[in-house]
Amino acid sequence: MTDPKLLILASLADGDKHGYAIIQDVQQFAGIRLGAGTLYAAITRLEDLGWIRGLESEDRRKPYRITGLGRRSLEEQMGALDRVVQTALRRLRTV
Amino acid sequence: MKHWIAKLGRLYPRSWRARYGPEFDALLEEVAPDWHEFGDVLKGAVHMQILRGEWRKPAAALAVLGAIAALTISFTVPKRYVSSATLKIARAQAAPQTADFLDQLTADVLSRTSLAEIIRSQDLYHDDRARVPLEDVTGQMRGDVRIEPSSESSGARALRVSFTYPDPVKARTALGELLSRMMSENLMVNSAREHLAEQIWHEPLAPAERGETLEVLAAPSLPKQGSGPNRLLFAAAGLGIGFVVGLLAAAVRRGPRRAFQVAGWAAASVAVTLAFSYLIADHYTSSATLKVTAPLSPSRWFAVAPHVSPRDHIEHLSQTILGRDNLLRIIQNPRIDLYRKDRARIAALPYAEQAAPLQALADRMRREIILDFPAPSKFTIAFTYTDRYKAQTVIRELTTGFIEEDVRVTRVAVAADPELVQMSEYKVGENLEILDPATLPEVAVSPNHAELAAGGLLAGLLLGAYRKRSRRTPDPPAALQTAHS
Repeated sequence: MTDPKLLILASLADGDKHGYAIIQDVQQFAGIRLGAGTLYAAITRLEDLGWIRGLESEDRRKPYRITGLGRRSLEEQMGALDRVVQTALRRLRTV
Repeated sequence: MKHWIAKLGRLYPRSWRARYGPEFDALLEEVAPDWHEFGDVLKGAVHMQILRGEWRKPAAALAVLGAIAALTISFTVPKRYVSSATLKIARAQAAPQTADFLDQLTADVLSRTSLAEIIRSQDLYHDDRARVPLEDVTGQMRGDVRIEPSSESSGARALRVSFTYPDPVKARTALGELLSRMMSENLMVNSAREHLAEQIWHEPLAPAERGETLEVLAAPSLPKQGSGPNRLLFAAAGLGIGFVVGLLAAAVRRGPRRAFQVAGWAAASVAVTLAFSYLIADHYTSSATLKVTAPLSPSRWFAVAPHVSPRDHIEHLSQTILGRDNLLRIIQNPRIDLYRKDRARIAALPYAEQAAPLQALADRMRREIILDFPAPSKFTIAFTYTDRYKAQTVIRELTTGFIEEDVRVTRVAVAADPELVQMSEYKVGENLEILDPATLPEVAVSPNHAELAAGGLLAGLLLGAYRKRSRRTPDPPAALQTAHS
């Protein structure tokens, strides 16, 4: 659960955010501090995949929005992760 | 730290910066400036350069081209053949093992003079001799000859001698001549020692003091299969060079005007450095090699003189020969006449004030003299000066000085021993022999114009790059204010 791309998608799932806001949000909900280099490497990749897109802004700080494709991808990944979590918890309880 | 992190942001590829640059710079102004952030931005820059850098295609293409070219060249490099032979070292029974026997033997056979004779007689390194001084060619041959102790053979020590050369027949013939020189040198030294002992003491040398003899166990082989150059190494070097050239080409392509201006700075810097280097006087180094032979009869010699290593012996002699008095005598010798301008300046001083600067001149000359001990029983003495003929004369003077001082020291040591005093020659102690006489240097050792030009090139490139960068990317005052707030 430390994949920066996944963390960024999760952060954008509840609304548009610019880079610094994503860093703060991820720090808050996951306790992980994303570096600026890591953040923008992931943003570049996510834009290339079409999972997020940059919005027009008068400010230098450009906000990003999750696309439909990104939302579906996040849901799939969360679903897979959820299955792993549920299975692990169930097995822990049975031991 | 914030300033340096912002600088790192400029290492991202140009196309990436065109898209994300402003927002990334804005983010860098907001994040906490620490080492974690510094490392992260640097890692991101490298990552993006690898993914999106415009240098990849030319660098990769030229790296591949370089590897192919280097591999092609490697096939034109001639194969080298190794001819080898084995010698048995037979020692007189109960004789003490002379550790420096091999060292003494090879000092003679691998001396510049001996190798030069073999090179001429066998017509070796024909092309190299046309290009470089014979001294360098003998150095090359010394590197191609290997003499190493081999495994024990029927209770005796053995030596493996080999010679590597591009022609298998010449490799064998030259090795044969090298071996015959080793054998005859060994015979000559042993018979001279015994003959001298008979003359001095009218009795043969004790068995324990007789020399070792050499016998050929395996004659020089005619190598059948040669080995080519290391092609992997060639390819790797070509790959590396091609890659660097590719990077440079990419830099030029990205900004031809800028590259042209940087090249202009580099060319100007090289021109200035070269002009400066030609104003400095050329310095030449002359050198000579001397061999320190073991005492004829160690037991008799060590009865009158303390046992010291050849190196300690030479260092003891050098206290006199390289002492201030002797060096000043050489400096002021009208035939040699060193440091003329400095001496004229000193001569203008009142007599009472001349001693200190003259001593300083002797110390300066001492710093230009290098004593080197490449092997336990031989040493090289070198002197560097602006006049190559004078450098050679000084080395001749110093080698003669060492030999005379050695004889004088021996005479003093044996003075109390009537038997030794009767000797016609003082061969009882460590004797000095000239292996390679003083060279007449052909090439100046300094200033090194090529090194200076390379330094100038580098300085010019850095200066040009710095000037262009500082002109191209002035930080806006507003951004600076935000960054430092």
